[in-house]
Amino acid sequence: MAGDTSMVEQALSNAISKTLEEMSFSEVIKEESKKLDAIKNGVYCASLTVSDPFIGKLSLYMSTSLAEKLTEATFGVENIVPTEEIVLDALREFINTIFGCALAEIVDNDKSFMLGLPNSEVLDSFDVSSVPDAQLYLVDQEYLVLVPEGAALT
Amino acid sequence: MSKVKIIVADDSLTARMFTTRCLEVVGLSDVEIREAGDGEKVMTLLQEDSVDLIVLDINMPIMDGKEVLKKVKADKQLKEIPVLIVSSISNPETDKKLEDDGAYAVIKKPVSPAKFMEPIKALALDGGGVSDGW
Repeated sequence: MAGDTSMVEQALSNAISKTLEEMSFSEVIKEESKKLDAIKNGVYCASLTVSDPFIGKLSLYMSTSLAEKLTEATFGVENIVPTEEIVLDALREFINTIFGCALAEIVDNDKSFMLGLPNSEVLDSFDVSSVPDAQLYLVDQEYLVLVPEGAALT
Repeated sequence: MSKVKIIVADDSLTARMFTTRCLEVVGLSDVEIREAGDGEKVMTLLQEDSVDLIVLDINMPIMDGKEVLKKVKADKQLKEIPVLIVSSISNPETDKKLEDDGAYAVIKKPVSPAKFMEPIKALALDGGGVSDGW
């Protein structure tokens, strides 16, 4: 239903803004026009499934440089060197927090919900144009892509 | 004055770091943090030494936070240790279940120092050092 879709989209938008602003002090701007075809030359991806009260999945894609920047900002630049392992861990925590925040808005208060364990990986590239439900956000002038899957989320 | 000993349990290094930083910022000036990446590690740490607080994620591999909470509250030696749940899975329904199972409070991710202030003050772990004007 259009109303529910709009509510879900807003919940995801609120969740990603809240999470990245509080964890990495980064401003997140929703990009309404689909200007991005693909992320190339290295992509960090994280995903997480929900199994109750509905089946769904949320995935997050961003360039290597943005992933490293967000990780450094979260840890404090002086505290770490953003190795692949650390960045993958940070992305798992981002998707876990984002999805939890969003579901708290989407799911009725008298229902519990169950999330899986987050996964993350590095890809060569990601074709944004092949994903109709992709949501684009700008963070520090770079694109971040959120992809919800499942009837309740799209 | 002895150090405040806290177990911070989360399978994410990022989350453990972030929670630790919040606890330090909130005014716990002399704190010893022991990290655990899963529930089994939490139980091992609890066998090794007493602690003043457990900060516990729910969604962890091997043994999740709910299981740890149940084990701690069922154990005569451990049941008085306050347990703060830090979780991305938080709404009134899930929070109430956790508090009924013995959690002192549920803090929703993303965490911040402000979210830890009230329970830390109420538990008097700060020795009165947390400023209201923080």
